[in-house]
Amino acid sequence: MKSLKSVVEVSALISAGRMMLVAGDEALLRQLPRGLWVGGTIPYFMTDTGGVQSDTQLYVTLLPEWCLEAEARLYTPETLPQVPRDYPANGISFIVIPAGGQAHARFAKDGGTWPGFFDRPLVGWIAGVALEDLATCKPKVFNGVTGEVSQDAACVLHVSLPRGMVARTEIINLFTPGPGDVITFEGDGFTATSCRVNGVSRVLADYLEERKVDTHWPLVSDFSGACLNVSFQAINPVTREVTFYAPVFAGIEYRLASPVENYEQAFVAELERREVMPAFTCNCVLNYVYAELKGKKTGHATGPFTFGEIAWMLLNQTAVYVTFERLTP
Amino acid sequence: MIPDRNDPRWLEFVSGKRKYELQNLSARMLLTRLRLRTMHGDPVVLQQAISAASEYFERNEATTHADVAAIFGGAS
Repeated sequence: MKSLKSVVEVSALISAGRMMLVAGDEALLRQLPRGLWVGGTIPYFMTDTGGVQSDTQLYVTLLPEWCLEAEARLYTPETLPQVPRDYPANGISFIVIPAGGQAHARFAKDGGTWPGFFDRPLVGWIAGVALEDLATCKPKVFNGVTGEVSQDAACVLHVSLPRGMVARTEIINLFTPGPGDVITFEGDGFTATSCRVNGVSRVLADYLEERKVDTHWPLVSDFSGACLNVSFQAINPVTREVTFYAPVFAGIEYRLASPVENYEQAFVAELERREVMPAFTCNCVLNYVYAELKGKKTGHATGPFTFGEIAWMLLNQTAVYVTFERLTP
Repeated sequence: MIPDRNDPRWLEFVSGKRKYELQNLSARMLLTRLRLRTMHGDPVVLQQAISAASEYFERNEATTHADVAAIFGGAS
């Protein structure tokens, strides 16, 4: 089945009662009928024919028909900590958060501290807009069940699975910590001016410029064996403040990533090694841009390129995927 | 089998005294977040972390056999 669809095709699937996640241009999402779907704006997709940008078609992830039921809810920045309380007893929750708002910031900084946060699969993406429209358009999320649209609340689809079926969430991160300096931060946040490099206090921007660091490559941390990235957004030449696409955390050690020479090839090799057929995938718009994935394929891992990937935590320059498995008795 | 919360191996787990080869992404993330909280050794925080870790493994018993074995070994 082709992965990009017209509004008419998606509307027919919604009307037929299919449960789905939808990514695409705001004007298209607004034309969809109510039904069992949630969605978010973004015009970049990895399709079965390669990476594309489209404002005329939607990317649809159809959830299996054996999924029992689903409940879609909007969570404001204030009510976001309630998300884990609403996790299904056996299931998975898909979350879409608009980029740049308080929900985005609060989820990324505080989510890992909310009781029960890691107890069920929580995956999704940060909704965005075309990079050329950043100054004029706001990312939005859609609750297809109620018809609500928001540019600051998170939308979550809590999906219950039949007994004996489980959802597994994994990531493909081709970036590994380089052999260089250890960088640490005094506080949590999307910005930093000072840091410690091998324990010595430094202005981060000075350090990056002195070392001629290519900020296309992220900072990488080791979360008990999982390599997690924080990507650089900008360096303010006046204030010397460095902005990131995900928060850095005090107490975590970061290293500059080792470069990835051929992202497309390395990604396909890793996907084939794992022998998985994802039911949901999203990847990072920075990988789309930096690895020049327009027109290139990444195997059967297709989905939106987003302003941040969510596998519980907010991730950068990482592919997130979900597989469904039957538990062996 | 997931041991009782008084088992001393829980304290080792949440306080970072040992390294573990964990399989589940959520377990890896949870462990690191818990260790950020417990790094100052506050006994109340340590107990809260043990409760959080214990609840996580109880709620995910079907999918975390390998991680439970890595933390507690075959016999618990």
